[in-house]
Amino acid sequence: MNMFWHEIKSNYKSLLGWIAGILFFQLSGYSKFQGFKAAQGSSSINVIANSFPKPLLAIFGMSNLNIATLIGYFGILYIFFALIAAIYSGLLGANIVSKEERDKTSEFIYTKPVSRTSVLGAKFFAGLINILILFVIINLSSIVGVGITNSNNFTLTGQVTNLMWGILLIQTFFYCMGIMFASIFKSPKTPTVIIATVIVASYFISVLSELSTNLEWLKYLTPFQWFSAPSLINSGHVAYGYVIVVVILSTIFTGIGWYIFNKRDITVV
Amino acid sequence: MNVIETSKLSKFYGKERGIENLDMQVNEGEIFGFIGPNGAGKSTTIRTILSIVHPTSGSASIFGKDVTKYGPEIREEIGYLPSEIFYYENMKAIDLLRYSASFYKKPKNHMEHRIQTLAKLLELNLDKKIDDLSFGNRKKVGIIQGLLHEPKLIILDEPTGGLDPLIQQKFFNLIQQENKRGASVLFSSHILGEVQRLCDRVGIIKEGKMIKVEKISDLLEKSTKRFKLTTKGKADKAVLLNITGISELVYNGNDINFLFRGHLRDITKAIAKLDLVNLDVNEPDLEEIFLHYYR
Amino acid sequence: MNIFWQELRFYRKSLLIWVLALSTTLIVFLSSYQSISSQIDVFREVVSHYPKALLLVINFRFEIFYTIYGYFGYILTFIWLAGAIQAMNYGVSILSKEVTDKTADFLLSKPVSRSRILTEKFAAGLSLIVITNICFTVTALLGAKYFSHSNFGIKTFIMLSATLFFVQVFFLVLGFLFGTILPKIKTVLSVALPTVFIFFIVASFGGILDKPDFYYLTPFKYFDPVYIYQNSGYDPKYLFALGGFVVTSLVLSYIVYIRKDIKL
Repeated sequence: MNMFWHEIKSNYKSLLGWIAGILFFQLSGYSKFQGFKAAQGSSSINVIANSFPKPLLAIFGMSNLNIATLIGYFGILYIFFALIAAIYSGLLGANIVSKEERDKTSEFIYTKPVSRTSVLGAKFFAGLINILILFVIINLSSIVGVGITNSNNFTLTGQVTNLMWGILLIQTFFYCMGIMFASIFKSPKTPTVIIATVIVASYFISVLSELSTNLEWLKYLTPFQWFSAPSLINSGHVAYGYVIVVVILSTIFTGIGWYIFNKRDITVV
Repeated sequence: MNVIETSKLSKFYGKERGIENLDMQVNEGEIFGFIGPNGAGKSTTIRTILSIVHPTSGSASIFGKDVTKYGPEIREEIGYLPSEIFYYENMKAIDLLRYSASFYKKPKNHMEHRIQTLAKLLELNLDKKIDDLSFGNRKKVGIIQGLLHEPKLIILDEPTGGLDPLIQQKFFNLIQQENKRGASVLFSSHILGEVQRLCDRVGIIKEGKMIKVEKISDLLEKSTKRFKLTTKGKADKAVLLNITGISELVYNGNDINFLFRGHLRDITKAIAKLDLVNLDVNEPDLEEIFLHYYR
Repeated sequence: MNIFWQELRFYRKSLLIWVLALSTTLIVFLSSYQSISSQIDVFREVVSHYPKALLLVINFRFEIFYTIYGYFGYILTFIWLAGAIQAMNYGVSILSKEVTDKTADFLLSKPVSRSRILTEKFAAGLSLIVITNICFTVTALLGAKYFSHSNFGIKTFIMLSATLFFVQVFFLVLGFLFGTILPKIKTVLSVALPTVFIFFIVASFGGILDKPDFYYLTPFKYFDPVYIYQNSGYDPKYLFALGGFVVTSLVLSYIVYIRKDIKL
């Protein structure tokens, strides 16, 4: 457990920074909703939202969202929280394993009487705790933010939580992928670059998929669409199929990472 | 029993040769020196037996256990001092040492006591951040880190670089004490004088292969001494004639210079006949021998 | 100039990869243009029934969207994002790597002044950005020609494409400043990626929240494709903001770097 606590200690300051970022966005994100809500009366906003061609909705990130409702509005904010969470998780996964080789402490830790599995395990779970903490913060702050904007009415909490599960799954997916890349590659710089590319590409593909019906098939390729705000709001729960996909893939990623990490040479100085 | 035993151990980094068919034995209780030119494979050998890198072929065992299979178990009793010391940011020396101690199953207060004792001996301020320490002081952290759990096998990779001469002395005494306590030592170094002083046997590695293993005492015995004499008048050349074992004999006015190998009794009997003003005999130096292998 | 050329050589491979990445992203987005622009008639039909007041809410930027300019302008948002990561990466790493790779005592023991080091490194970073932009603009022109099957004003198009340059300069300079101020940056991407995304999200929020004041905070809002199309030029107040930021940061970078103790 010593390695586990060591990792927790090393990472908490960074986590605090990210939490601050989340809270900052929560503070500023809801102010436009009143404007949207005001227009609701004329029913024109809904008409627009429903009849706009796809790309136009995509520009405002409003695809398939009923922005006159608070939950629909929150759906616009959702993608940004998902992005932040994804970046945090992916980078954490990649860095937490590769940092020993990056900082040249590999000759310290890997010559200790512990197996590589236990080192990896301690790091994996310490990182997971961090992910969960960030998730809880995003979840709670969103519930509070939505509730306050809803005139201190917290009935939407259930719907907000639905969306939050999507974020947790996206986090897990990219976290395990980051762990895998760091376990595979000997050079500590490579995994960070790759996971960042994957996350940015996933976001771009997600955007593209919303631009036109011809491109809708792209949604199968990116977690940001598997758990997109519209699908989560409209169906009321995460798509169980995609949950299974994420669980299976995350397990595979972690398994591959664990296997290769034990087999490969550790990079020294 | 052999503390370390490798059998046809090979490690290739892609096509680059690390070590090739290396056979090495380190006996229990000995201090084994490990020398060789840069790039010969010393670090590779050490990293392979520590399981930092995996062998391409061949095997290695420590305490009779295969290093790949029993890695963590073996490392309970290994203390490793790498040549370059890097540690975690923002950690004080004492924090790092306690973290290091937390990996071993030995009694905690015993290790804590060791840390304090060693720090005092080496004159290291434990409360300073490692980042703020000089290179030599960081080395001290490394030394304590490697010894605090009283391991049965100590692996040293260029350990004295950066240490001032007094601390070096203390370090050697420390190693010798550990050795007397029963620890075996694998000592990799370029400083041939150190190897000569500390080690029982020395292995010379070159281009990935172990080319010679010798006892230090044997090497010393076989080595030549350099004699420099100055006589009062002109030297009597007849004195040194027909003495076997003399080579490179040079007469320069009143000075006589030669190398001698053999029984000292024979040569001292001979030069006693000379009217000497000055006599210099050089301590046998392994450097010549070693350098021969380095080439 | 030796430092300058050395840096260019060092980033050669990275430059190639980024140019390819940006071009590929652009082409992928552009290739969807046809399927999107075909919907313009649908849009016009729907909008024709809207009350005037509502049209004010929407404003005619949507009409523009269906032209190649508008669509390109939309794509640019994402190209900026990627390009910003590239630029910030360069800005941060070109300085911080001396510390992380421990080459600081090599460089600083040479007969060079710190200001010369900064100048040559910055010039190298800037050159990388310029080269990237030239390649990108060429690709954009060719791609637009190919995918739009119609004519368009080259000048306006180039003006749009050049916005990438300005955004990249912003992040190059910002990264450079980070490189001088922060003592040791172990993973450049862990600093660059979140920073860029923060500016991106602030821009998106600013857009949604419709708060023009926010726009000064983030280069992603300095260049509005619709404005550029309408006025064949850039909005001067944002150019001033950009210029002000660049000058201030560079000056600050020099002051800090020349004085500080380099961590060895």
